[in-house]
Amino acid sequence: MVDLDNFRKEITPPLIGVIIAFFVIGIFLVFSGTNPLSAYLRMFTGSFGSIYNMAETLAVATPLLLAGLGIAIALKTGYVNLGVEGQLLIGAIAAAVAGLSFSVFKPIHLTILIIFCFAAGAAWSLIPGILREKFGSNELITGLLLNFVALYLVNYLVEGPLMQEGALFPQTARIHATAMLPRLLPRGRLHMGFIIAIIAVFLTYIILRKSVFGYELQMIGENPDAALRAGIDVSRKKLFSIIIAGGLAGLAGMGLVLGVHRRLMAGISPNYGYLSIAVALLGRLKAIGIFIASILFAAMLVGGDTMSRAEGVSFTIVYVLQGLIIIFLLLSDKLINR
Amino acid sequence: MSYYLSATFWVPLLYTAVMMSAPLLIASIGELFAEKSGVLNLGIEGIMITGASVGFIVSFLTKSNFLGVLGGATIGFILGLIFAFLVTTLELDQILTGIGVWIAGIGLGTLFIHEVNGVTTGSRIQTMGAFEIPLLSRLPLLGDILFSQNLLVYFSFILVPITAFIFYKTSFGLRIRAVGENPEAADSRGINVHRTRQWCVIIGGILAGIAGAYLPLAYVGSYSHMMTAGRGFMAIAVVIFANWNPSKTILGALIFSTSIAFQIRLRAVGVDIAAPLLHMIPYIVTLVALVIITRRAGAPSALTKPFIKKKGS
Repeated sequence: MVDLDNFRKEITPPLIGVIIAFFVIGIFLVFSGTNPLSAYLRMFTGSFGSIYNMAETLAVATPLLLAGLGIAIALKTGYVNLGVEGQLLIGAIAAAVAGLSFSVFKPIHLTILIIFCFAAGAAWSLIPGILREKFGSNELITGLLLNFVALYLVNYLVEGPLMQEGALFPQTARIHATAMLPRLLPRGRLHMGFIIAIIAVFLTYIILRKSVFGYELQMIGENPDAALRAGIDVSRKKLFSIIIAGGLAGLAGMGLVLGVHRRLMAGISPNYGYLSIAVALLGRLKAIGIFIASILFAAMLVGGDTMSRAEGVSFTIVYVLQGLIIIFLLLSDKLINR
Repeated sequence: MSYYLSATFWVPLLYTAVMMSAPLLIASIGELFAEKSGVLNLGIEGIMITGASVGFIVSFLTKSNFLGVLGGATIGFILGLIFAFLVTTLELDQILTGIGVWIAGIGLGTLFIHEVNGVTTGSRIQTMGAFEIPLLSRLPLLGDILFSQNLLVYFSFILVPITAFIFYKTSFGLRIRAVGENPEAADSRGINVHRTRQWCVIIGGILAGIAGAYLPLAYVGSYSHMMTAGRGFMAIAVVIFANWNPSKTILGALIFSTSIAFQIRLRAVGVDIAAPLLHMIPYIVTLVALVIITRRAGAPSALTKPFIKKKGS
């Protein structure tokens, strides 16, 4: 059952990538007069040191995990969904609109919200796909441009039509209680979105490993011409994978509004969408792998904050670390699995 | 209403538009070099951010904007060299590696500011002054708009014909286009595909570093986290908009910068339009332009495809 050789092939590059990136940043820390071991220890205790910190790490992992699973499903066909950040933000907008505008029996409200936010993210993800089909526009670029449109749309809404009356910051009012995703622990911000993400992990595992659809996506990615000759409706399947990717990104944005902040505000996503691309790569486009990678990246973000305050290191070193992980992962994959 | 048709409204607007077009144009020409040779550099945004940071630090410490620009160019050279090595010699995926360089760049820029003593995001420098070109700057309207700009603006103007000359009149340009269109054929004619692509990506890195340094040095006078605000991606859009033609990048860059300038100008005269909607304009303009103008005919055939030299050939 377990193919050990294959397992080793999959797990080695991410491990080496992470180790080398931490090592390189460690050397940098030494030169800047910080003890890397104590810095990394701070990072670890800041992210896993207590139940509260662990819960916070899982809360941050939730959007990375949801969006990352979507990235993987689309990337199976070779589609790099660079528009993920915008899809996430549109999901957040949809959550705020439907969470503020009406209130019904909680299970019904949440069901409506989940469907609505998935649809909103999916619809936004379809724009680059449609523009590609109709006009041949490069979907990488249109997706990226749409991210900025979505970003400024959020800013417009929270400064304008949806701004809370009398608020000092650009933010909406709190959503109705019936729209709030329940928190899982008495303290901290871990919310039911994490459960949704876990369900998405299982569904993605089944889709990618056990379903005909997953097999077809794999075939399209490896050789689109052969897939076409084998009778697979390539453009339809591809579009379907993009819809799932956009929808999952929409759910990621939904969780930020309904579970974490209980409102929409400017800067609600500190690059979670973009980072989810890195998470999907580090997780080797596999459901379980992405689960682990999302927790690792979340731990770096949450623990990086603690490290930055305790050791006086710039928080942005975490981004350098994450960028290096991607580069060293690609590198070790190339050198090991060629 | 007549105010919005008068020179007092338009001259400052177009002056700002030309000033804001320079970083875009410089970055676009850099990206064009890389793409012509078959390499899509998504990391350009990260290189620009780092260029802005290093340019600002050097300028702050030496009180010289010229050295600041040189600092931006140097870090651009280094990052371009690294990216080139990764995607040519090591044959890594261009798009995914680009994302890595970009995420690292987001952090690197602000990290440098944090690590250098005495420099903070609150530090300020004297921005580059206008250099009035004799006689030409006396021209009515055009003199104010085009010929009373800073030196990097003139550099961006000159860059375009130089690039067109290199691409279409030199043997280096011929090699660039050959490896971008059909690397296998180029290789069989004895052209070193990797070496040519490396040079192009390095040129692109240097120009992206300069373009990044432009923002604090010639425009803002200070550094802020992620201050490039997607201009690297705009540069990629400009290249597509221009259909990989150097002279058309001017038009693409100007469309972007004019909509940025329009937004700045309208706010300056107190027009009550929600700022975020104005911020959206350049992105929507580019999106529409891409949809209308897209003819992928101009794209180098081998763009994003790594060249893998066959063993024994």
